Amino acid sequence: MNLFFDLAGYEFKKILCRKRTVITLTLVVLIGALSVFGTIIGNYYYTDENGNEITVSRYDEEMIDRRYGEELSGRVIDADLIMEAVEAYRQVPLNGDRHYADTEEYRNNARKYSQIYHIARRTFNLNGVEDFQNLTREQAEQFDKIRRENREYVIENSKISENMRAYWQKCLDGSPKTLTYEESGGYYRFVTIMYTTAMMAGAAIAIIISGIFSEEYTNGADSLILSSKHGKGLVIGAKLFAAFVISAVLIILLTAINYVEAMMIWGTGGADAQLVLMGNIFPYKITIGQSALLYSICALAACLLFAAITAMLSAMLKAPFNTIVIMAILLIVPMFINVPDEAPIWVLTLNNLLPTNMMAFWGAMYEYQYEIFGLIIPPYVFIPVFAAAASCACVYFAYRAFKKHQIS
Amino acid sequence: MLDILKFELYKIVKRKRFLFSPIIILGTIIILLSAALSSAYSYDGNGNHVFGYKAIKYEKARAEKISGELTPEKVADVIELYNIVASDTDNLTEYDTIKDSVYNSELYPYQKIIRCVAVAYTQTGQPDYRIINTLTYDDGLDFYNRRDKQVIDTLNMDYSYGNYSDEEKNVILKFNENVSEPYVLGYTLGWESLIEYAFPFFVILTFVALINVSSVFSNEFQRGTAQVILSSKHGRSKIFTAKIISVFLISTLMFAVFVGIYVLTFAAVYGLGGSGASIQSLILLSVYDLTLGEAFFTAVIIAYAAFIFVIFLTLTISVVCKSNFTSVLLALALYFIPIFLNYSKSSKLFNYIVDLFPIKALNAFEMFKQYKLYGFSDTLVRQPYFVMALMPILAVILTVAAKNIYSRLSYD
Repeated sequence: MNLFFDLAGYEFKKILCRKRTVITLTLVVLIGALSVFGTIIGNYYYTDENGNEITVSRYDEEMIDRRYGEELSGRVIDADLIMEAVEAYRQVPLNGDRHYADTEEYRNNARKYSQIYHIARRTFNLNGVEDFQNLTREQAEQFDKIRRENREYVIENSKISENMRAYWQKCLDGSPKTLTYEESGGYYRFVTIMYTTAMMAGAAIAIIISGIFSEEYTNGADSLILSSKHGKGLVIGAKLFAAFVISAVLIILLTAINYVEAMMIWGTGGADAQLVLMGNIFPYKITIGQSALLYSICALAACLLFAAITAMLSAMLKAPFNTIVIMAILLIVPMFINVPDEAPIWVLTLNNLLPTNMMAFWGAMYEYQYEIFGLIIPPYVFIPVFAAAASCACVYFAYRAFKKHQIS
Repeated sequence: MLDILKFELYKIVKRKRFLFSPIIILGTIIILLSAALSSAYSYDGNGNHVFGYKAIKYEKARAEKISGELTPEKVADVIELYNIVASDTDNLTEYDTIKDSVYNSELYPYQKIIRCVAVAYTQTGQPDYRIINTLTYDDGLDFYNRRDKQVIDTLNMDYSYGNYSDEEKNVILKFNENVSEPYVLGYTLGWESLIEYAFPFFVILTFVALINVSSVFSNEFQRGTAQVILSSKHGRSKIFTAKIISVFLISTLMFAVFVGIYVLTFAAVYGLGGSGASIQSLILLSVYDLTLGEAFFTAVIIAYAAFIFVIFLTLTISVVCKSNFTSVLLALALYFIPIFLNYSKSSKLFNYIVDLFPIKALNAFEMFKQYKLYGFSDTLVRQPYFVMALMPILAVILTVAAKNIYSRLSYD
């Protein structure tokens, strides 16, 4: 065992001491650390009543929204709260030259309720502020009923199997009848920024690991390794171990940095809040905090799958050049191909299993589940399991390819 | 020289990666066509949803109802029809909106005109279909004036990153005056699909070409053949020229063949009737006097200019880097990273520069939606034509720079 770790240590050194690795890791960690701050750097502009352009820092604006959100935290979204928001919005003039969000009436009174407005807008299918101003108490009292009806409409009209329909209904029946508002800006920012971070980590992993086997071919070191006294298996194992550890450490480090920064800026509130507060997504019976954790696991699994694919290609192809090209295709191409919502469910769910799509929060919390032998598996469970299985297959093929490699 | 050129061409063509290129690009075309078909939808005469290939048939039939010139009278007729439908309480939901089934059977055939009305008569940038309830037949007759007013309002709006200057406004309004009226409508689903999926197609086509040329020079260093080439009797200049010409020929051929296949594939499925429809039938506020066919082919030329720039940028990188891996990595980074650049909310200059990155320029049809002008006060050029001219110039500059670097290289 000691020998294995000696070899692994040597592989770590080989990977980490490369100029390419140092530059890539430095850049990725630096960009990853700064990306959260990037969202609060800069200014917002609005026009005051005299037509003057007012500049306010984005950070201050975010903090105002956070404070307003925290003031509403813990309140049930019911007719009283909705009408309180409607009353505040009714003071906002809509016919002036300025955008409604620039007016003092909005900034001083209605803005506090902007999150309630957005939730009501989605629920009541409102076209804009004018519709919200015209909302009556009778309509507001129907809030929970309409929320449920909207979901039931989706359940009835979606082209899904009866099994999945029953699962959706069960989730709906099990979800709380009322919705309590919780400020969850920290978690929202964390899951949003993590997508880019995970993509960056994927690219870095491809660059760092692409030469793990193939560089031995190009350097001619394969002839030594394949005939060494340690045996091929141990060396291959050490290489794969080093690749996975480096990949895992990188994504965990970036996740931790993003999490800490997001929580520092936008607060840790909302961990116990209902997931539906994140948007009009499927009512999984998990909280926002749990969803962030499950999503982080999906992102980690996706990055490890990325590492496994890179290692496999590195063992199969004779030059790191070819590996990096294929990994670039895997990373970039899915970004340009939008599968339309009208596509069959199997296409939509399969699309979510592309490594880059696994890295997205919407992918982990997707409303279509995986149905295998009648069993309905939520994506946040299926994605890590699939990634683990696919990674094992890649490791096997990498092992086989390098072991059977013939020196010409 | 011809022999060296032939040899360089042969070297590129015989590579495995070149042989794989058609598979990747044809695969992309199939995926894009499948995506386009699976999102195609229409409604039959009873207002029922129809999807895929069947939808194309209905869209063609629907287009016949509105094909031809979009006269103000035609707009006014549609407004009148809309109001007749909306005034019948049997057609309304409990929220006083038109029932989906009624809308789809009675009004959906005129959807294109209804969209134009919504854009022309509501607050700039926020089309609201409910405005049609408040319009009369006479309002419809004023359609072109209202549309022009929207263009003026867009130019006069306050933008956080900087407003249009008076010179810019004058130039844009002059172009707007030259737009032919009345606009022509027709069956445009084929062109819409071609345009919608052109960007991912061009991105992948350029990516594949980039991979093929990324090691043209660096491979000589990696394999050690540079030692021989740099001291050969033909001289560096001849070899450099042969490499550049062969890359130019191969990449141009790739572009022409695959764009041809892309267009023909979509044409075979959708049909390309309606090429004479005005660009305003898709982008009402566009100030370009082009038909959809002309706009698409202009976009193809812009994409080709950006494509060639990427190819020559990659060649320059290949001269500088002495390993294939570094060369392709750097080229890919320079090609793809600008797509992650977001527009600034405070700097107009930054936004204008961002639009000049080749990957942004590949999304050429987007330029027809915008009013961007490049240049100085007395010579302002519209964005598509500026990009079309700039990219080849930059490619030539890069080639000269690459030649200088190549002629001074020494082999370690």
